[in-house]
Parts: sequence; structure tokens; C-alpha cells
Amino acid sequence: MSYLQLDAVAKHYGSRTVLRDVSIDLKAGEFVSLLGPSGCGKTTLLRIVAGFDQPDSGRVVLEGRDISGLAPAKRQMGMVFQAYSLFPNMTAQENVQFGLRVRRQDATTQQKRARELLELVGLGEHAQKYPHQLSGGQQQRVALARALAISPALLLLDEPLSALDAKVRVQLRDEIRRIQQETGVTTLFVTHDQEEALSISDRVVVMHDGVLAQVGEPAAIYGEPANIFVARFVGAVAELQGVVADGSAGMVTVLGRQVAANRARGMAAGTRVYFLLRPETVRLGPPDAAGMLHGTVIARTFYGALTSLKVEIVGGSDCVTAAMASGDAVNIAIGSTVSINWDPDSPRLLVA
Amino acid sequence: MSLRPTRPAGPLARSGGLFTLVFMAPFLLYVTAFLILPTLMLLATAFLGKHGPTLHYVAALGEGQTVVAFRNSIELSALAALVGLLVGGLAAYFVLRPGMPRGLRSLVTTFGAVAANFAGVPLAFAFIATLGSLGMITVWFKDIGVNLYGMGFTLYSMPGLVLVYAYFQVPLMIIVITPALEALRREWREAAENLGASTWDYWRHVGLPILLPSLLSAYILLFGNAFSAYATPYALTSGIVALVPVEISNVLSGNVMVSQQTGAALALGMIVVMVVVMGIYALIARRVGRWVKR
Repeated sequence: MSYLQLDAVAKHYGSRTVLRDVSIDLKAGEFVSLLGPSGCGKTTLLRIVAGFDQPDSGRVVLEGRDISGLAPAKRQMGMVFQAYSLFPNMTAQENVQFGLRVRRQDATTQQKRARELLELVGLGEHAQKYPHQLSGGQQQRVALARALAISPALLLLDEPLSALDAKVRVQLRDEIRRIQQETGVTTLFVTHDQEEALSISDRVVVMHDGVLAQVGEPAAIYGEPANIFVARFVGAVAELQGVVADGSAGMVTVLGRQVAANRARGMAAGTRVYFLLRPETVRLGPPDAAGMLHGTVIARTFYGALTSLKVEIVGGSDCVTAAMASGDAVNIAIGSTVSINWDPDSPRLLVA
Repeated sequence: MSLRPTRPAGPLARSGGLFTLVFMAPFLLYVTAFLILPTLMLLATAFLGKHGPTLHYVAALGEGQTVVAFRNSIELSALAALVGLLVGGLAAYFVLRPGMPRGLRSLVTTFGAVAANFAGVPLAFAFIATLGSLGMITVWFKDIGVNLYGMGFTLYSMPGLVLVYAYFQVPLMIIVITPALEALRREWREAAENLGASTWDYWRHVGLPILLPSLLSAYILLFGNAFSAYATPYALTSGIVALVPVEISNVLSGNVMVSQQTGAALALGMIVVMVVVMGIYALIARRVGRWVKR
């Protein structure tokens, strides 16, 4: 049985449809990310789960109980907001105690629990500091401790890392995952950052224009995008137009050349497809007749361990990007002609 | 070799200092000419008699009519400030609530800006014309069988003055408290609610404590505004209710007696009251605003 079930949830603001019959099931203890571009409806969905917004239709069911009409205060959910949600008039400890205080728990229990959680998020020594005395990352840790203090049935994270700088973001992301696994709390995490979603989640829900574009494990979302939106939104991808040449042999015609793609097997000849290549599956080499495609290196971007090379394909203006070890990439000069190869299992084909 | 960071030197720093001086000098000059010097002159006048230094005029502040005037002024100001604080604060809160018509806010703000500056004789006349013994509203009430003055109400009394003062105190409060109310973040309310807090819990533990420094400041402003009001009570009560500003006017340009020294002593007393009030404010503000970033 699902722990949290969102059943055909729909929401409109005036004539604008924000959510269209969205249905998701979460298992107990699962970490699920809602991933999508701005305006796709992911935050609205989270706010509906929290009870801050009401769905126009559909249900929110938690542990078999329909909570759609329940006030946020009665849902027993902990939420971490984007930023600046700590009460500025309270110390870190008082912030963490707040949920227990309004539940009229005794002072000793409140203090003990707050100390435990501040230790859990690594801020035991900052308990008496006010929010303005803490960095952005520390504030979000306190917000996380505060959300966990009430032993929530569900932890809701609304882009909690978006206001932090890159290094802190990665640290806190890993912290969140560690704490979630330690506490076992079922978590719904909203983000527009694909790397964040892929690295932290048990499952990812990709949203687009108020509907679910794909739901799956991170590797499946990345490696087996269900549609062209997911392929474009999650990770970098070279997108070429192709036509299945021979379904039995797994051959596709791309830019006038027949190239191997095992996923074409079983497809009818003549089927128009998007021929998708991830950068890490592209191999560049010296130009030779055996190369599947040929092209000219037009740009290089250094990322440290990896370097990406952008190659314009001969016979068209399409480009592919190859991600290579930086040590290998230095041997390929900009302007040089290269062969472009890949493992026949790598290309993902989507019917156009 | 010292590794301590040094202040930037050179033309930029020098020009920065020059700019500060250019902009601050007129202000400092203004404050000196119209605040510090007059205060010193008041101080000197209050302690100088015809035959040299004297405590006579300051000691007279403890006499019957003067004590009544100070008591009335403080009570009236405290009450008028409280009414302004409560009514204006609640009005601003309701105007800013989500879902209120957008035009309502600009309407209230515009009206507030005008009404907060509408005081003195015109305001007194407006109230006499509406709530005086023969005022329009008084007569209307009488026509439907409600005799306001028969029930003990009179505009020319302390309660009447509070009502009139509310006309400019409430809008002033709306203007000064609006930014503080707008600064209450939606996330604080939602976080509180999410953690199980009721509306009362939120206001008790979060909303009001955050607003408290602003409310205290607003109260001091309203108190000072009422405490120094002269034309409105003078035009309305013609001295029936003894108030310090009216007493100062009487001793400086009155028909019965003219005494600059008494006027100076009364003004000095007003300054002392405001200093005491601000001292109390500073003590409370420090306590309730421990969390404020300084």
C-alpha cells in the first residue's frame, strides 16, 4: 500500500491550469524529488500536499486517510522552505523547539529533542545563536532540524538549497540525504536542479506544464528518457534527426549516413526518430572510414577532470558534445576533424 | 611587518570623507541652530530670573495647575497614542491581508498621508461642525432619539480630544506600521502553521514579537505627536482642558500674564517627559529586540 498517494490532483488559477490530474504514489521511507522547470507546477503540488493550497479536484491520501481537507497544522508534516523561514526572534534552539512548544510538550522534552536534532545537523554549538548570526547553509540546517523535531509523517523540502552557493549546496544536499536515511522519514523534495534530483533521490518525478513527464529511478530518468522533454531537460544530450533504415539490423539513417543503434531493432523501416546521444557515450578519434559520423571540433569547455568538446557534424549544422577525460582532450585541437563513434547500445531513440 | 588590514587611503578615501562632510555639515548646522541652541536657551531662560540664577520657575512646575496640565498632556498623549496604535495597526493589518482589493491599499495610504497631516484649527472646526453640540452628526443622532450630549459625551473634554486626535493618529500609524507588516514573511506564518501552530500561537510567539520593536517605535512617535499638539486642542477647548502646550502659549502671549521664564520651564518639562519616555522605550526595545541585527 502507498504511504502517500496523490490521486488525480488538479489545480487551476483562473484560466491557467497548473496541475492536470497528477497521480503519484510514495512508499514509506522513500525520497522522491519533483523535478521540473519554473512554472511546471511542482511547488504548487508540494503546497497542496502541505495543505497551504487546496486542489480543485483529486485527493491527497496519507497512510490510507484522505487528508485533502485537513488544515496544514493538523497534517504532521515538516517543511523546509527555500530560505529565510527561520523565526528571526528565536535562537536556533528555540526555532527547533517551536513545533514541540505549540504542542505543549514539557520544556525538558523540548530542549532534549532540540539538542539531539541540532547535533544531528552538526550545529550543536550554535544552539543559542539567532538566525542573523548563522550562514545561509546553517540556517537551512536549523530549518531541517525544526522540521524533523515534530517527527513528521512526511518531510517536505521546497528548493531548500536554491539560495545557497555551489559548495554549500553540495554539502547540504549530501547531509539531507544522510539525515533522511538515518531518520527514515518519507521525503518529497522539490527542485529545478537535475543534478540535485538525480544524486539524492530514490525516485524522480519529472514535471512539465502541470503533468508528469516521467516517473522513475534516477538512472532510468537519465538513461531512458520517456519523451523528448525529459531527454532535453535531464542532462546534456545531442539531438539528431533520424529515420530507421533497417529495423532488423538496428540501423538508422542520420545526416545521410547509416549508423548503428540497437534500439532501432524491431522498429519499422521509415520511422522518424529523435537520435539522442549523451556526451559520455560519444567517442572521438582520428578521422577514418570506419567512423560512424565525422565532424569538426568547434569548442572546448574545461570542467576539471572532464573536458567537453563540441563537434559540428559534417553534412549539416548539427552538433554533438563529447565528454572526455581532460588528459585525453588536450590532444584534440579546436578546428581538427574527428570521427564520431559510439557503442550501438548507447543511442536512445524516441519516435518523432 | 603588520598584517592588519588598513583603511583605504588615497584620493578615493579622501573624497569619501569630503562627501560625508558636504552632506552632513548642513544637517549638523541645522540641528545645532534649531535643536541644540534653542534647548540650551530654554535651559538658560528657565534658570535665569531678573536677579540672576533661580530655581523658582522650575520649582513652579510642581504647582497645582501645571501639574494638572502635565498630567492631562501625558494621559491624553498616552491614550491617543494607544488608540492610534490599536485602530491604525488593525486597520493596516486588514488592508494588507491577502485577498483584499488592490485599490483599497492605495486608497487607504493616500487618505492616510493626507489625514495624518490634517490637524490644527481646520480639524477642530471640522469636528465642531460634525460632533459639536450643534454639529451635523449630533443633530442626526438627536433626530433618531440618541442625545449624545445628554448621555454625557462632549467634544470639549479629554474623551473628545482623544477622538479628534485619533483622526490624525490612526492614519499616521497606518503609514508607519505598513512597512513593518509587509516585512512579515509569508514563510514564517506557513512554517508556524506547518509545525502545528494556531493563528494565536503564531501571533503570540512569532508575529507580535517580531513587530514589537516597530510597535514601540510607532507608539513613541504617536505619543510625541499628541504631546506636542497645540493648535487642535487650543481651537477645540479654548483652554477648558489644561494641556502643557496651551499653558506655554498662555504664559508667552496670554492676556493675564507674560513670563518667558515660565514658558521655558514648561518647555523644559516637556523635554524631560519625552526624554524619560524615550529612555523607557530604549530599555524595553533593547529587551524585546535582542534578536535584531545591529
